[in-house]
Amino acid sequence: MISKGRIKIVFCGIIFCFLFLAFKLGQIQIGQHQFYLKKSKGQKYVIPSNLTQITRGNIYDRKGRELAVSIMVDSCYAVPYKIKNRKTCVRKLCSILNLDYKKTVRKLKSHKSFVWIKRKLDPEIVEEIKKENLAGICFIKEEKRFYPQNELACQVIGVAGLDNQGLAGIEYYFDSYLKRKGKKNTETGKKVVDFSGHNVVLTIDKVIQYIAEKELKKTFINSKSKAATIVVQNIKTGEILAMANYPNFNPNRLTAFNVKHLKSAAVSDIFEPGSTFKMVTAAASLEEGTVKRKEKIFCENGKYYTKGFYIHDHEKEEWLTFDEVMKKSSNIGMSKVAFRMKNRDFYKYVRNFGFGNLTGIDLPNEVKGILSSPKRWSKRSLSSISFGQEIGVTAIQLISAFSCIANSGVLMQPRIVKCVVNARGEIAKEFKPVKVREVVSSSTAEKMVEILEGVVKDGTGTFAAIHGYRVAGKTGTAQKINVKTNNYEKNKYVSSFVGFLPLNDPQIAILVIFDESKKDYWGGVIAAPVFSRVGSQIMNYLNIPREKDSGLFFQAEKELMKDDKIKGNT
Amino acid sequence: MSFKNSARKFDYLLFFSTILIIALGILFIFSAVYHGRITSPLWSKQLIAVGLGLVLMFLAIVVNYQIFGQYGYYFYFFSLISLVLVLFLGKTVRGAQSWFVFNNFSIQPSEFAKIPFIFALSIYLSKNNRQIESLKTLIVPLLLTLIPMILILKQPDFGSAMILLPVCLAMMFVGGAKSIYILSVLLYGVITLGVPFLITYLSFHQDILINSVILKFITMAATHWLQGIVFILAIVLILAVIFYLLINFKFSVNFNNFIITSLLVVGGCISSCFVQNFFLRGYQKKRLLAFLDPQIDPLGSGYHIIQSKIAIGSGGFFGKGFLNGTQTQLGFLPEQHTDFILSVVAEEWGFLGAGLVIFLFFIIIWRGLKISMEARDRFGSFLAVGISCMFLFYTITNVGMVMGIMPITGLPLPLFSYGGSALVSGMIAIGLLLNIHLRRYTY
Repeated sequence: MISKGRIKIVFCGIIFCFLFLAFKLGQIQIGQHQFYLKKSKGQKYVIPSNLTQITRGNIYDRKGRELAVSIMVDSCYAVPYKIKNRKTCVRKLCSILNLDYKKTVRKLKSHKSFVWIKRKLDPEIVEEIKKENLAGICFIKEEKRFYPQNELACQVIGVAGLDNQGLAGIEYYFDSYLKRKGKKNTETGKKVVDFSGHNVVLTIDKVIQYIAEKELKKTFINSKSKAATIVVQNIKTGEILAMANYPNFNPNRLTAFNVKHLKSAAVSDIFEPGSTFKMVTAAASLEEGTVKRKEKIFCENGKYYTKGFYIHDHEKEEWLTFDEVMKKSSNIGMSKVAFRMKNRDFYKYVRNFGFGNLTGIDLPNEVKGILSSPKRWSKRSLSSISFGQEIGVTAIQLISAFSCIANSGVLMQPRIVKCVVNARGEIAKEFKPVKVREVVSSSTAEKMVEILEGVVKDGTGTFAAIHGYRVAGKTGTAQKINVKTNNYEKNKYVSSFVGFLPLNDPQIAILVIFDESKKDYWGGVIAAPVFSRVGSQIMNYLNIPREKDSGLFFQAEKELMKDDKIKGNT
Repeated sequence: MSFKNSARKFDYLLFFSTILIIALGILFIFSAVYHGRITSPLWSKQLIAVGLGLVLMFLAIVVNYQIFGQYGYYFYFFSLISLVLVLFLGKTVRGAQSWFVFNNFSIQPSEFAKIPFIFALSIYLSKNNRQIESLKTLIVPLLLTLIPMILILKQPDFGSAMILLPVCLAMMFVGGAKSIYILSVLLYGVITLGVPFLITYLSFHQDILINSVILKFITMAATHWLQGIVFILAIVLILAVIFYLLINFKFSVNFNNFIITSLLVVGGCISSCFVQNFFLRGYQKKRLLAFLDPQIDPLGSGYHIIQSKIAIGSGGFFGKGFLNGTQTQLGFLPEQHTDFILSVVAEEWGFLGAGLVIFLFFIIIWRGLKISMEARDRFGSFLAVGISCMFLFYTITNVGMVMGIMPITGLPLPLFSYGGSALVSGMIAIGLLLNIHLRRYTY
C-alpha cells in the first residue's frame, strides 16, 4: 500500500493552498473592492475630447465658395442602465427618429454603458427629443460633413463617412490633407492646439458647374439616357471648370444612393469615342503632311472594300475635300487618309495626344483607357482607330486632346485642384499648370481649328453654333460594343460632342456625352445643343464679348471688355 | 458487480460536484462570449464536448480500471506518438503547434496525454514499490515525465509541459520516495527556471543590476559561454569549501547526498543556460514574470493581470449579476472564455460564485485523495493520487494566475474553461476516480 501518512501530508498542504486562495480572493473581492470598482468605472467608454472641435478641412471652388464644410451637430446616445422606463422611452424615440422598435429595444437591453441611438441629427429633431426629457438618453456634439450645394459636383467632391473619413472623390483623394493633424510639439511634448486639417481649393467654378449640370440634366431626362457626362476645361491652363455625370446623388443623404454613382465617369469610365476621334487622325495627317485640306478624296458611295474588309459611311458621298470629310464625318475618307501613314507613326500621335495614358488628374480611380500597341494591330486597326473604334478613351483624355488643338498644339495636364490652404489661410501646396508636350505645330493646330469650325458651320455639328461666337467642334456617334458577343449593337450609341470657343482666342472646351440615348442618338442632334446652351451661358458668365455681332457695336464692346476678359480667364 | 451494489458504492458527491462545475462552466462561457448578442456558437460547441465527455466518462467508469494497469504503457506510447505527430502534422494556433485539425473539430493531444502519463507512472511506481527508496527507482519516473514534457515544450506549450513535473513529484512523494530526492529535483527545477526569470526580471529593473556585481555576473554567465563556465566552476569551488568546513566542524554529512546535491546545482545551472537561450521565448519569460510586477508591461504581459484583477475586485461579495459584468461584457478581459473564465465568475457572481467554484474543486481533490486511500490496489491508489494532484496543480495555477499571485502559464481551469479536449480528458479522469471508488472493496 502507498503511504497514507504522506497522503495526509499532501492533504494538509492542499487545505493550506485552498485556504490561501480563498483568503486572497476575499482580499481582492471584499478588501479591495472599492479600489477596483473605481478602476472598472474609469474604464468605461471614453468619448474622445477632440470631438468637440471641428477638424476636417473644407473644400472650396476656385473662387472660395464652399462646396464641403464641417459643422457641429448633435448625436444621440443612450446609457442603458440609466433608462427607467425602457418601453415608453423606446416608443418615443422610435416615433421621433423613425427607428426600428425591436432593434432599439435590443440595443438598450445590452449591458454596455454606451450605445449610439442615432448619429448626426438635425437640430429640430434634437430639440424634440430633449423636450421629452428621457433619462439615460444623452447627446454629444459630433463633427458632420455638410455639402451646402447638395448634388452639385457631387462626384468630384465625393463624400466623407460617418467618422469623417473620405470615401470618394476629392474627399478621398485628399483625405490626408483634409484630416486633422495632431502634430506633437517636440519641445514641450504637448500636442499643438491647431488640429484643423487643410482646406482644398478646386479649379471647379460653382457657377459653370451649375450651368453645365443644369443643361446636362435637362437633356439627360428628356432623352432617357442611361448616363451622361459633361466636362468644361480651361484651354490655356488645363483646369477643369466643371465636371459632372448623371445619374448623381445627394451627398448629404449618406444612406440613399447607389455606390455606382459615386465615381466620376469622366476619369474612370472608358468609351469608344467614335467620330470625335477623327480630329486626332486629321491632326496627325496634316502634321505628317500626308494630306492637304483642299485635296479631293473619293468616298466610294458609302461602301468601301479594302484589305479584306468593308468600311461604311452613314451617307453616300463621292468626291470630298479633306475639310468636307471632317464636316460630313466620312469614315471611308478618313480611313483612306489614315492608310497613308505608318501604323507606328499614327500610334505615336495618339499617344502624344494623351490616349492610353493616365492624365494624372487628382481624382481617384483614373483609368488609362484601352490602346493596344501597333505590334498587335490587325490590318483593320489603323482604319478603325482613325474613326474612333478599337480604342477606349476617357472623357478627360478626349477633352484634353481638343484643348491641345485649341491651345496651338500644346497639351496641358488636366487639373482639378488649384491649391491646398492650411487652417491659417496660407497656401500649403499649389498646383501650377503643367505643360505636357507639344503634340502638333501651331500651324497644324490653326488648320485643325479652321476645319473643326467648318464642322459646326455647315457640317454635322451645326446645332452647336452659338449666337455671336465662332465655335469649333466635332460630333461623335459611336455604336456600343456588346461585351458578351463582341459585336456592335444596333440600337445602343454613345453620342458626343466636343468643342471649344471663342475661336479668336479659345478659352474653354466643352465635352458632352450621352450614353444610350433613347431618343435621338446622333451626337450632332443630342449633344451639340447642350454644348451650345452651356457655351453661351458660360460666355455670358465670363463676360467674354461677342465677336461676330454686326459692325460697330461689336468693335466697341470688344475694346471695352478687354480688361474683363482677362479677369475671366484667371 | 451488480447494479444495486454499484449504486450504493457510487461516489455521488464527486459526480455531482463535477457535473455542477461543468454546468457552471457552460453558463459562464455563455456569458463570456455574450457581448450583448446571442450569436457566438462557442458555448454550444462546448455543450457538444460535454456530450462526448459524458459518453467517455461512462466508459471510464464501466471498464475495470485494472485493465489500464496492464495495458497502461500502450496508452502511454500511443500518446507519445500522437505528441510527435502533432509536431509535424499539427496546426499552429496562436504560436503553438498543438492541434490536430479535422473537418469541423480539432483535438489537442497534449490534453489527452496527461492520463496515459499518469497510467505509466502509476504502473511503474506500483510495481517497484519495494525499491522506491533507492535512487535508481526514481530515474525511470523522471524519464517517463521528461519525454512528454520535452515533446510538449517543443510545440511550444510551456504551461502544459510544466504541469507534468509536480504531478510526478507528488506521486513519488506519496509512493514513499526519500524527501531528499524530491527536494533535490525541486532544487534542480528552481535553479533551471529561476535563473532565466531572474535575468528577465533584471532586464526590466536595470537599476538593481547596476548596484550588484554578483547579479551582473550571473546575467553575463547565463548568456556567455566563457563566463558561464567560470561561474559553474566557482559554484563547485564554493560547494567544496562548504563541504570541507562542514566535515572539519564535525557535522555528520552523507557524502553521497552531498555529491548529488552539488551535481544537481551544477546541472541546474547548465540546464538553466539552455532554457534561457533556447527554450523560453522572450514573451514567455515576460508573461511568467508579469505577476511579480504587472506594471512592467501594463499594455502587454501585465495587461491580462491588471484587467483580471479589476474584474475580480469590482465584482465584490455578491457580484454584478449574470451577464452584467462590465469588464466582461465590454471585452476588457482577455481570453475570458478560456484561461480567465474565473474572472468572469468573480465579476458577475462575486466572492460567492468564485468561492463556490473553488470549493467544488476542493471537493474533487479531497474526494480524489480519499479514493486513493480506499483503493483496492496500489495502481488504483497511485492513479487516484496522480489525477487529484493534476486537478490540484491546474486549479492552483489557474486561480492563482487569475488573481495575479501566479505567473501566467496559459493553463485552463479544468472542466470549466472553454476547450473540448481539456474538458473531455478531465471528464475521463473523473470517470477513472469514480471507477476506482466503485471497485474499492471487491477483493
